[in-house]
Amino acid sequence: MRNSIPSLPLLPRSRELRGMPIRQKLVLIVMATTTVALILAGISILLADFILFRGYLKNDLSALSRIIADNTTASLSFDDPAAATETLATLRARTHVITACVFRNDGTVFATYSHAHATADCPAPSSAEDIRFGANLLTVSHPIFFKGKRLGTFVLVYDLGEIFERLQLYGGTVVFVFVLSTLVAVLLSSRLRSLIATPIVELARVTSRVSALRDYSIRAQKFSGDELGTLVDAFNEMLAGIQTRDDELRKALLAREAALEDAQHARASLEATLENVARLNAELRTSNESLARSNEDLERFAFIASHDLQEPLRMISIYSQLLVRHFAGAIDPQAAAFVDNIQVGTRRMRELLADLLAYAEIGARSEVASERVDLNLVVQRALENLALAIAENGVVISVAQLPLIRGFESHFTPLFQNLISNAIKYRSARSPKVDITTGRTNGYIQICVADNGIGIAPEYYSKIFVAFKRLHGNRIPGTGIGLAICQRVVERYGGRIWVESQVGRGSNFIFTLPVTLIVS
Amino acid sequence: MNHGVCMPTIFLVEDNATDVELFRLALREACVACDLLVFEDGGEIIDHILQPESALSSALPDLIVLDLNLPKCSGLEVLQVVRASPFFAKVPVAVLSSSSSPRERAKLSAFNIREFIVKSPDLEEYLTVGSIVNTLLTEAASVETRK
Repeated sequence: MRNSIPSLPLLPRSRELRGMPIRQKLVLIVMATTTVALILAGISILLADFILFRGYLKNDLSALSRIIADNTTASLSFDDPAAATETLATLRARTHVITACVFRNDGTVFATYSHAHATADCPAPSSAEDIRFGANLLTVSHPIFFKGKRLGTFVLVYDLGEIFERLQLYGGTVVFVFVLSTLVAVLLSSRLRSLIATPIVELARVTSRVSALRDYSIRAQKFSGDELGTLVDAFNEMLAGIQTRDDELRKALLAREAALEDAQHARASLEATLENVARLNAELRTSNESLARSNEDLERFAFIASHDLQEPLRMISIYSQLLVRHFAGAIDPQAAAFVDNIQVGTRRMRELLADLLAYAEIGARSEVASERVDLNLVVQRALENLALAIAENGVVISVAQLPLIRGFESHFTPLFQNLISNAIKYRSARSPKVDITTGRTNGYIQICVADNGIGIAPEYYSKIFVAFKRLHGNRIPGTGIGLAICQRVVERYGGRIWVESQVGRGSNFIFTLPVTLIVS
Repeated sequence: MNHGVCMPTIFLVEDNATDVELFRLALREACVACDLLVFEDGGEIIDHILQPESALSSALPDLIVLDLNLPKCSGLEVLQVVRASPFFAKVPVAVLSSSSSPRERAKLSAFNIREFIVKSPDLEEYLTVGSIVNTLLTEAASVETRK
């Protein structure tokens, strides 16, 4: 389009054309096409007619010349110019014949014919048969023979105005047809317009409405099943797609706003919670501090009490012994038995105080352990301390290789001693066995002191670790603080202690210690 | 110094009167003849050490027996003063304590303690204090003699 438009002078310039409404464009295209077709058709018709007519004229005049020449043979033979003139006069019927002459062989005129008012002379004859086209005239020269002997020449001048008359006629026809066809084209194009332009105009209208109103529920009307119809369908589909997406977008936006609101609520409540937590933490810290203080006070009290209580107890013990010793002969035997009871009581009291002191001491020592403790040696020491009980009960003991750790020996000796001592104390009728084994789980060393004693029912698993809690009364000797000491030691080092047991089968006392305590 | 004809001198730092009595009993039973000077408080012996006349060699004891658990001024403070004194620094010291905690002993390791004596609740065991003191005095006397 862009290249072809400037070559058509009838059409407006391309910029104007592009801005033109599609209806006018369609009319313009139809008109231009029609015009070009008509002009081309007209020119070709005129050209063809011109050529054909000339050929026809040539043949026609050649035949006419031969007839006239034949008819004038006799006149020439008998030298009768009047007869020849009469023959020539028959040319009157052909209005376009201007003049005609018969020449003798010597070139003199024998007879002539002139169309009314024509003053033209006959041109000189040529020697052979000849048809010559001039600007406005056609000259035919035809030799006249009689029995092979040339008698003269016939010359005819024909007015070519006829050709131009025909051309005018054809031109007029072409112009008429052009005007007519233009009218038809205009009419047709207005029909075409409704076929093609209307859907496009509708589409354009819908597009501008959609963009102006932002209403994606508007749909374009479909007028036809052709490509324009497909275009409208596609456009509507696109609109539907946009509408769906618009809806989704709007919904998403709403959801997002709701989520934002929720988040703000959540944040507000979180902040409130955090404030609460901070307040609770502060309270907790205060109560922790006071708890730590009261714990410390309690431990100090336990330490001092048990320590200071030992002094008078020692005095009771020693002086009751002195009493027996100094008055050995003078004293009543029953009094001596009473003194023995004093001894038993004070010994038990001493044990209790010693354990209480040990218990308090574990908590009192808060410094970081830097001593290296060989647990194998610790177990040996504990076994030495229990040598009498082990020998009396015939206990079979097996001890696995234990690690070297950082800690205080004064903590671990009572730990093992209490566990082994319990294993012996709570023996069953079977010959007692104690197995000390070790293993590792998840960053902890696990040490197990297993016996084949009377076992513990599950409901007592946690109670046995409570200080002074005893399951067996005074039937089996003990202070009731041994396992509490064990638990305190293990927990002080970041471990855990528990029991796994079956009544009548035996107990496994298991404790863990962090692997980080191991000295490599 | 008292040696030969003169009886050895022992400084006993002990607040508990019954313990002082038991200590004398133990010495008697072990047949230890000595002058026993009793200080009932850490402060008392510190005052004594700091007196100028204490610097006299005749005023120096042959043995100091020190109860660690003292009111007001602890046994540890007494030890510090004893070891800081140019005259008392070389006097042998035995420590009496009701507990046998190794940790407590570790604290005293710097003070060159000759003997840790545990105050036993058992009479017979308690009375071994006498023989321990006897041994220490004999050792001290032999060191003096060699000098």
